[in-house]
Order: sequence, then C-alpha cells, then structure tokens
Amino acid sequence: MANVLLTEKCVRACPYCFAKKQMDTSAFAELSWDNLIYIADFLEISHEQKISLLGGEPTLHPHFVDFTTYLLERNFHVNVFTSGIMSDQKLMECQQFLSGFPPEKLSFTCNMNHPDISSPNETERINKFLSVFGHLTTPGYNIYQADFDIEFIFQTINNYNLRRHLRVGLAQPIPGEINRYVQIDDLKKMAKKFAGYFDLFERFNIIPGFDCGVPMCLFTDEELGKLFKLNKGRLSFGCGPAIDIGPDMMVWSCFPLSNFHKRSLFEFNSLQEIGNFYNNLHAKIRTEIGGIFEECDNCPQRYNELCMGGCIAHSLNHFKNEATVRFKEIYS
Amino acid sequence: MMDHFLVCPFNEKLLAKLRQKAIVIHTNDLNIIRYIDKEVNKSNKLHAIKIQTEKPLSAVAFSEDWKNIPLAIYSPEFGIYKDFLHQLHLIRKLNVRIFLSSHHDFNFIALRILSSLNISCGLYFDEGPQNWDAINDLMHYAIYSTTKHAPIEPFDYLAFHYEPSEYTDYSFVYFDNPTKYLHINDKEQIALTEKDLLSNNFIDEGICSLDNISENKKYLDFTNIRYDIMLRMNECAFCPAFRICLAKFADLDNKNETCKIFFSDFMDAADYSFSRKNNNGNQLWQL
Repeated sequence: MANVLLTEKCVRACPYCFAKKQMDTSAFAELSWDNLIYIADFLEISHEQKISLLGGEPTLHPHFVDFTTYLLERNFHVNVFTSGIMSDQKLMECQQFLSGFPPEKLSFTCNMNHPDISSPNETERINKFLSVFGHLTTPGYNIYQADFDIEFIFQTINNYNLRRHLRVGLAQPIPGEINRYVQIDDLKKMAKKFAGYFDLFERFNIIPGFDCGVPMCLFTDEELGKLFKLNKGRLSFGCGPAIDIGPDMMVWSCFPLSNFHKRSLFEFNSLQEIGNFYNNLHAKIRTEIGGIFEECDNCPQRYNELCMGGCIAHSLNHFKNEATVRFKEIYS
Repeated sequence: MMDHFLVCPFNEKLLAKLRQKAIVIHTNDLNIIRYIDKEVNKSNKLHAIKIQTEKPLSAVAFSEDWKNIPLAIYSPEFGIYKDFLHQLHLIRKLNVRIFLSSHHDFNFIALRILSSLNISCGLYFDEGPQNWDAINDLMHYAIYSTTKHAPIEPFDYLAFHYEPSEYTDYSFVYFDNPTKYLHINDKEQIALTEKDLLSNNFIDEGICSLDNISENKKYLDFTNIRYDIMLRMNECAFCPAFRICLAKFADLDNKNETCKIFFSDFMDAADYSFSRKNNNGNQLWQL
C-alpha cells in the first residue's frame, strides 16, 4: 500500500508529529489532479489496489472529496488518515459523497489525541465527524511518552460505533529533527503501561494493532500470549518501507525517514521497485546495527524474522555523531 | 451513387427525401435525442448524433432514454467534478463519446479523468491559438500510458489507423473527411467539410446531386489540396508530420514552435503504435 499526502496543511500541532518535517519545509504544497492521476495509474500498473490518503490533514485539500471519489471509482480501496477536525460545510460535503460507501471500499483512521491536549472545540468537531463516519472509522493513537492514558478511546469506540480495532502508533525520532517520542530507555515502561490495558481491550472486544517499529522484547512472554489472543493470532513486530508519496511527487520510505534518500516518484516504474530500493537501504542499515538494543545483534527472534529490532530511525540515530565509516548510503 | 455518410441538421423534410443512408445528425437540442433516433431510423440508419452544447459537461442532463443511441457530445468545458460524478454511472451505460474543447486548460486534465474512468472521449480544436504543450502531454498519455484506459481522440484514431506509407487523416473522428462524410444544410446545399458548410462554400445543391457527387469537379479537386500545399512551398510542405496533419493548422504563424513539434511527436507515437501492432510476437535473431 502507498500513502499519498494530499496536502501538508494541518489543523493540529501534535508534539510527536512525525510529519512535522514535511509540513515545515514546504509552502503548503498540495497534490494536483495531474499528479493524482499519475499516482493512480502508477499503483494500477503495480497491481496495488489499496491507497491511503493523508497529510497534513487530507480533508483540507480543496479537492479532497473529488480525489477520494475518483479513486473509489477506479476501484481502489481508500483509507483516509484524518484528525476528524473539519468545518461543518466540509463534513456535509463528505457525508453527501462518501458516507454511502461500504467499509470494503472506504475507511478512515481517525487519529485521537487525549482530551487534555485537545480543545473542547476540537473534541466537538471530532465527535461530529464520528457520528457521521463512525461505522467506517478505526481509531488511532500515537504514543509519544512512556506514561499515557487511552481509556477515553474505549468510550469513544462504544459511543460512536467505531470499528473495534485500535491502531497504535509509536512516535519515532526523525533523524536530524526535534520531535517528541518515547526514548529507548523508556520503551519497556511504555510497554508495561500498554499491557495494563489488555483487560480493557479484552472486555471491550477491541483489537490493539501496533503500527510498526515496536520490538517484541518490550513484552514478557505472558504479555505476548495475551497480545496474540487479542490480535486473533496476527501479531507483527516489523519495520519496513511504508512508501509515502508527497504532493510534490517525492517518495520516501516512511515518515521517520522522510529525510533519508528521498527520491522522485518519476524515477521508478512500479511500487515494487520503490519497495526494493528502500528494502535494500534498510538491509544495509541492519547490517551495521541489528536493532535499537545492543541485544538485537544476536537476538534469535530477529534471525527468525519474528522481530525487526524496532524502528530503523532509532538505529540511524546511533550513527548521527560518529565518523562516516559505514556504508555511504546510510548517511544521506 | 457513392456511399457517403451524410451530416445534417435534424430536419424531417430533408430526412424524408433520403433513403437507406447513414446519417449523422447535429443538434444542440438535448430534449429530442430519442425522437431523432426514432425518426432517422425509420428509413435511414442513424450513424451518430453530434450534440454541440454550450453547457459544461457536468451540467448536461444525461438521460436513461439515450441508452444505445450513438452520441458524440461536444462541450466547451468539463465543469464541476461533483456534478459530473452524479451522472457517471449513467454515462458509463451510454454509447457516448465526449469531446471537450482545446481552449479550456482544465479540459486536458478532465480528458484524462474521463479516459481513466473508462469513458471514451476526445479533444476538439477550437479556432485560435492552441496550448501545444498540453495537447502533447495529453497525446502522450493517450498513446503511451500502459494503464488500461478508454480511447482519447483523435490520438487513438491515428494510432490505430496510421500507415507509414500513406496519409492518415484524423478528421474522421469529427465526421469531417469528404471521402466518408458530406455535410448538408436545410436548403440541401452540400459542402465537403463542416467549416465549408458554415462559410457557405458549397460544392453542389439538391439531394439528387448526391448521386453524381463523385463526378463533381469541386469534390475531385479536394484530393489535390495536398499537392497544392506542396507546390506553395510553405512550412507545411517541409514539415515531417505533414502526413498526419495535412495542413490543418496552415494559418498558424511560427510553426516550428507550435504545431510542428506536436505533430512530429504525434507521428513518432503513431509509428510506435504501428510497430507495436505489427510486431506482436518475438522476433528471431537474424543470421
């Protein structure tokens, strides 16, 4: 699946924002019709029928509804990553044109922040969005500090009949940038806190799905067993190229690596080519360093490909202040 | 009598005089499409209805009633995507080819939208200066794109019909080549092209004269127009793409910067399509 940034504008300023670099460095670039058609063709040639639209806040793009319906008409499954914060007019427009699509065609991932860091107006707008699109929406939560509270999400899922799956993202460092993320030393504390919610997940019948970049060893075997059951047997501790495409048609591996070997989409002939390009780069980094912990180098779970050793952005951070003695590709 | 398709307005008196002819009706009245189909097919064969509307495409009220009627809709601009979207599923069921003007910048994107949504479409060249870069981009999309998409005319026509050793005229897509189409008005005046008809440049008059049109001097002369251009020794005579352009933009100034670049690229694309069409299998290495 490819992630396409429609716009770099956003209504929020989240402390952990992994897209911050993207949003800071451009004069709010927006994807054009021309480029959208090119991307759709590119994905079709690559036999990829899934596409994620994100930003910034993708609904701020003036043609958001047009683009989404166009992709749906071209038989793509479209997933929209949104804050859910939009004007009444935009919400009405979305309701008119998008609410009739089934979840197999259109879905939303609504990124929730704790009410303590959201204004009442924000919360009201998100609730309005969820009351219209709840049935198509998976909630998402980004953990950016060891101590956090996600109880409000269980309530929201029930109140608005959201899909019973919580997409849990772990904020990661952006090499060379300043953003908030859980420090390596705090990861186990974060995992312990998260494991404290397992009973709630079970009781509410909600699947806690980790996004990527979480090492397996953060959890005890007992916790892993519970996670395995909660996830209905589908557990992954991977880290690989997500493939993000910017409004300026630049591609990069994933947001934490948005400064790392950015290329133009026009240099590639298919999504597989892009995947291979970044997989090769990741492999070179992993040759230099096994994972975020020293133990990753000799970890049997890594050799057995059950765990990728955490987010590669952490690994790149290790090389930040050293002499450039490794593969030259890992420094650019 | 030659087997020409006749392009005429919807005039029941005129049609009553015709028998067993292939007819293209041009109209701007969207309310009589079904009626035209019924009336023309009584004693003739409706080839297509060419609808010239002043409305944007998105404002045209397509009708279930138009199913199975061959339609060519000429609209100056695409209009509002959301309005178009409401009609998309209906348009897909119709036997329609949508033409948009070359004089509206968004039309070049709109044609790609239509084509990628599997709706046959085309560009028509309005009088005056053209955006040759945009036309060239659209041509590249129409011919070289490997994604499945509906034809965009006139590019698809030329790519399909191009023969390197012959002249290829894409005007057929606009019902405008006198070897196949003749234009008649309400007064039964006959012209070789739509432009001739509008400028009162007739070759003959009266339905009965159609029987002997192949002997008409003016009709025969039109084939010599190409040689006239060569004799005039102007830029078109030296243009490598003359074989596909046939001096359609002879009045343009500064051809080296405008039509010549586009038509040369267009001919390369047609050559590419031709060789792809004719080299389907693997070629064995040569001894």
